[in-house]
Amino acid sequence: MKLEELQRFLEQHEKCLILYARQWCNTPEDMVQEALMELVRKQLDPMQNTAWVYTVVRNKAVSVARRSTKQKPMVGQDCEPWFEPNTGDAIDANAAQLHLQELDEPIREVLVLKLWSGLSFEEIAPLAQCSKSEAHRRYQQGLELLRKKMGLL
Amino acid sequence: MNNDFENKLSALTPTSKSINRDALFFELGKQQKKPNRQVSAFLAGAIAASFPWLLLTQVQSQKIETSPSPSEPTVVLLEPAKSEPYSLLEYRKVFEATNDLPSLRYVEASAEIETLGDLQKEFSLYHQ
Repeated sequence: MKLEELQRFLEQHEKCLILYARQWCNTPEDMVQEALMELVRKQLDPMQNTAWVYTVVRNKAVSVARRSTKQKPMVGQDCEPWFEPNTGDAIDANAAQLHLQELDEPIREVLVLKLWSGLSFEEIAPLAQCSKSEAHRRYQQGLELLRKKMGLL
Repeated sequence: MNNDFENKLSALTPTSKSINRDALFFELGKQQKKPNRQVSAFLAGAIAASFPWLLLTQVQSQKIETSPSPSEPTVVLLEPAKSEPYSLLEYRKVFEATNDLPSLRYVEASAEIETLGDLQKEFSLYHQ
């Protein structure tokens, strides 16, 4: 693994991985740090093992959440902002976070992986532990629910 | 309509405190310094024969390795025999080492090590 490859991977995925880990725990940076350390120790090519990194982050975050119920983000109680404040005609970041938190976890997970991490449904399916078509269905359902909640229907 | 909504959503930038990139890059550097191919059987045998009081763990397991490229450093892992106080004494004498002998040494040598003299020179440099 080359330094430039790792840097490129971080530019592309660091924030998305942290957002992904945030779905289960309140220490997402630690989960991502640990997963990436594993990646480096195993000397895996980051760009070719993107799904692997997401899997490790997920496993670590879920494990932390299971160990402590306090770590599990409760709807509306996670004080950390998920998104940068936006400008212009973009969707309100706070509202998006609030309504995302209201979604069921399996649906929210697929939305996060698709919208912000840019993974394909083929890559999302094993992570979300469902079929490719089910991942697609959850994604469409999630979008519809969000649009309704945000009054954009 | 869904497309427009998707685009607007995906335009939101996830916020985060950064991870510790320095620690990550340091680890990467460490991994890249690890040996990556076996040393010649001749050199491994010669080291073991000449310095029997050194426990050359990697020699014993046939894992002392040199870099495949002359431009890359070679890392030789040596572990002085912990159970032999005499070994440690000799180790100091031969290589004019200081008193702080750790149980584990990573010695970076050039890829030009082909003889015991080369190896000894590298150790001397290391201990200066």
